[in-house]
Amino acid sequence: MIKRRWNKKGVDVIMSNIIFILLNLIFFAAMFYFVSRASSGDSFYEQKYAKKIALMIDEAKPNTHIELDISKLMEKADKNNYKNDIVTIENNKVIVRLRQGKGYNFIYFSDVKISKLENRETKKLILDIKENV
Amino acid sequence: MFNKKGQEEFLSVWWFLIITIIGVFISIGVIIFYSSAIDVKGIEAHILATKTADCFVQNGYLTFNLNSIDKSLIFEKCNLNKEILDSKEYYLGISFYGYESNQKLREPVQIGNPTFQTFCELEGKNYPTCVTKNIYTLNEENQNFKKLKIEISAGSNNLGG
Repeated sequence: MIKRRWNKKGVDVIMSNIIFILLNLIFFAAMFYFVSRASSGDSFYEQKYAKKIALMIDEAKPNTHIELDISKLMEKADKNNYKNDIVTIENNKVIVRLRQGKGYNFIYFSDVKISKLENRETKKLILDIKENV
Repeated sequence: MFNKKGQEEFLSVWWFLIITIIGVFISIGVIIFYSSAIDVKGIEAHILATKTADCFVQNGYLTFNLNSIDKSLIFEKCNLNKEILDSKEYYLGISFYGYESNQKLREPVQIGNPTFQTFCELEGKNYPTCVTKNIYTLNEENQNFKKLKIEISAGSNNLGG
């Protein structure tokens, strides 16, 4: 019978290398997870869409019809189990909420009348901008 | 051949210290980047200046009587909200010059926060961002057409929240 003898030094080298590689992998996986979590944060999306919508309103002329894809916002609101309106427009402010709380608000300076509809099926925000008479 | 002592050093306290420092700095960088406000002050100022320019000039002619232009007329005709623009967050200044003489034809109209004229020249995220647009137009006065230059300065310091 042939007995296989392990070289203790060799085993040590392999083990320490494996541990080293594993620790590196754990570190990079943790960093990747942290960065991806931070970049997809709710507050970042609330701010981004509040500003986007307010700027669209400011730039639009009266009698403009806007359809904006808000599927990403709806996805996040669903994850947070938030069933109320995601986008609220009142007192010249656009407020975006992805969970219960004050959300993020941004002022627009145009004096216009806005009718808003959030279509849950098409995942679109529909804005009709009319002259304020 | 690997030096065993060297191998051990890989997993020593120093290695963990280095990797922790790198991790901490990456985390700080990411937190600072994603928690900072998206700066749209320049875009807002540009939209405000363009909107005012579109309101003042149609088909190359001045829309209003030069001497009757005032704040209330601008709010009424240009679809701009008085309460918002009169707050500290915005500035709109409109000056009128002769095309050839480049002399002021009348007093400028100023809306909002006039300190922006000074602060716009400073750089920093807490300072407003301003945009200046010069437009050339024809003004009809007693069936005489005169060329004039309108300088529109718009500024925003709207940070949201």
